[in-house]
Amino acid sequence: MPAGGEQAVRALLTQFDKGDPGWKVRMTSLVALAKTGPVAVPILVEALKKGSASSREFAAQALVLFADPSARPALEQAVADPVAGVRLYAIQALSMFGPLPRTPRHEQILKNDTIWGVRPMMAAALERADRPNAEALRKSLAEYDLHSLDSARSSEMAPDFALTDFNGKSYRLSQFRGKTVVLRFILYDY
Amino acid sequence: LREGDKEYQRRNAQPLLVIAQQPFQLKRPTTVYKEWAWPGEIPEAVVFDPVATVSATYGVAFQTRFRGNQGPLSSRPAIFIVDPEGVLRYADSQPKDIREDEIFPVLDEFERQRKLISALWTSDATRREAVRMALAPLSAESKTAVPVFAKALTEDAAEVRAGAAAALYWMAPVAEAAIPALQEALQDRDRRVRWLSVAALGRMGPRAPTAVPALVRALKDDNPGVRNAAKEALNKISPAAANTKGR
Repeated sequence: MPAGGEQAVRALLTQFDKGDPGWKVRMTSLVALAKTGPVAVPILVEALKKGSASSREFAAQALVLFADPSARPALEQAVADPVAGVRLYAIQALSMFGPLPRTPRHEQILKNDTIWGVRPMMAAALERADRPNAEALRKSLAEYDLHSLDSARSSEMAPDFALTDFNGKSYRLSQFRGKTVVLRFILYDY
Repeated sequence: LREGDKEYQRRNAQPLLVIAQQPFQLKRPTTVYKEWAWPGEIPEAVVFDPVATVSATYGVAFQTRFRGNQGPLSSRPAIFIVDPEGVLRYADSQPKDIREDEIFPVLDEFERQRKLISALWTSDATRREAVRMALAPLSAESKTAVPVFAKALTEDAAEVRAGAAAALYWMAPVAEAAIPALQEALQDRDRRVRWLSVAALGRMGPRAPTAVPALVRALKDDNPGVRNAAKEALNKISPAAANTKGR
């Protein structure tokens, strides 16, 4: 646990008080939290309960990385948050403990959530069959070199990476030398 | 093979579809409505970027909210083309997910540019060296190739002029010295030369403010492709100019 961890987490959260501070701040903050470790959890829980809309959303998103039982009651509350983004990340964070129980509240969200995108998220969480691994998520973030952030430039070497598919098969960009690679990022709007 | 896979194979290309989510979120739940299913067939290589590190490196992480702006933050839909040597050659983002069939024209255009540039390979050592630099990743020496291509923009053979314009488009980040030549080229007889020159100026963005009047003229080009490219280029250089003068 880095010295001043708690204070650093609080400082980081204030960036979200007045709305979305932008994707770079979000990414940098997630990386910092992954490095900070579980000392961040109580502060994130507090923000999830009492923060502004964007702080609550960020707190829920960050709590996905921890799967910490002490955050569970607050996350259970947050699935009823008025802000859809908070509900979505809270569902995702709860799914890090394994498939969600089919409680009346969860069934209700599955059937009737006013924001359509929340329903498939709940469906996926209720049926989650893989083994959630929050530690692996924290590790990839903690090891992320922030110098790489937004570093891809036309006419320069494409930054290399390795990602896995549904079956855990790894694909590394550089393994496709000799072919033209079409790298497509999609939103997947369900 | 899927139809789409055949199209990629024909072009010696590999698709990689990146989704910045955990895989379980994409497993089709059994309690779903039909509309939740994947739109169309799943291409072979769908990879997951669960904490958006790769999306962040490519500058697309956490920038779009789907479902009427109320969803979670997701990656900006974008397409990148990486050439067989591993050089990033094309980057474009769209407000919506790019359909697979929209990719093939982009791939074909990329290949045409590569052929045009490669065709400039001659016995002339200076030009040969310039072509080598255009096809390689940018480096400290790349700038030395720019005047060679700027000069080639005035040659008699249209293929050579088009190749030079393509090379300058690829080298746009270091090609400021070619701005006057590219402006002249906006009046070329050959549509490809005009289109690639417009694209090159657009890629320079705010570093090519002097090109604005020439690009505004290009908004009235005979060719609709050139007109559209001019509008896009003006948007990148100076959104104000594009708004007041473009239509």
